[in-house]
Amino acid sequence: MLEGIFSNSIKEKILFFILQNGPSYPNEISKILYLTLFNVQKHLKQSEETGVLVSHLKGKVRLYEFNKRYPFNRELNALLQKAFSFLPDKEKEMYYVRRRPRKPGKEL
Amino acid sequence: MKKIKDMNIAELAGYISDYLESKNYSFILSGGSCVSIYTDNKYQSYDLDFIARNTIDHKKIEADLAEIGFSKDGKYYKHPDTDYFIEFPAPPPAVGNEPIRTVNHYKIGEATIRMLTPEDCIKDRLCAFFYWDDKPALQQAIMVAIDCNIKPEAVKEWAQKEGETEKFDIFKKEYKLKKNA
Repeated sequence: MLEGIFSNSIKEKILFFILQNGPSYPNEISKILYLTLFNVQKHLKQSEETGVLVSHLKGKVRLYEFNKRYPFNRELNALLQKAFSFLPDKEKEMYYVRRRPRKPGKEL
Repeated sequence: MKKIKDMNIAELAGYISDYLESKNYSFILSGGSCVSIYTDNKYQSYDLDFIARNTIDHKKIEADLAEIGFSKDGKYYKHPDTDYFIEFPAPPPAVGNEPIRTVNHYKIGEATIRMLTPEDCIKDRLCAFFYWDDKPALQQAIMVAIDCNIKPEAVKEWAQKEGETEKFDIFKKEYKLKKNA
């Protein structure tokens, strides 16, 4: 969808994922989007260096999210949101991850 | 000129700022070091954040900084004689959605620091409070406002444009408490 701007589809997928799920960690993105962890980490690092994303440590996990201080954050989010809306429903569902609480030991 | 090991943060910022200018770069000092400078080190920062105002070649910067003894260590540039370090955050220089329009040419001895104005420094700190609920950044904004004699109203319109009127009110209230303490 936005490969023309992001130069490849991996970054687009990663940004779509964070757009839909909020703060996310590399291993989660890698597993759900069937991308190699190396590729995910590489693109997250690049996006952080260019100010698009920021990261925070939560326990031992590094979570990435959109950088609200990035001056084009609102516009980028609007663009991504619009691009995401053009995806087929089946593809959109791939990005949705459970974020509500789950009690320890509860059956799936 | 003092040796790097004897420079305080403002002197080092001036030295680096002049050096970068002499190499035809256009940078503006931002972040916590501006708070240090405007509050005479009531808040101590070790991080000199220089944000590029035009496109830069990182390889060339690395070579140029090596000439004055700074070497790359991860995303920072460090010098063996000082605890202060340089970072180049991603451009453009901005405070929230607003581009930086005015550069303060702050004289420190023979050197000049190209840095955020006190008003933009307050906005810069408030961004961290607005967007990440960072309380230390709120306190730093208040320190700069008091030490530089800037009333909260000066950044009210900007805060409204950022959609942060509630957090601006917190800033104003805490500013008054500190000012009258």
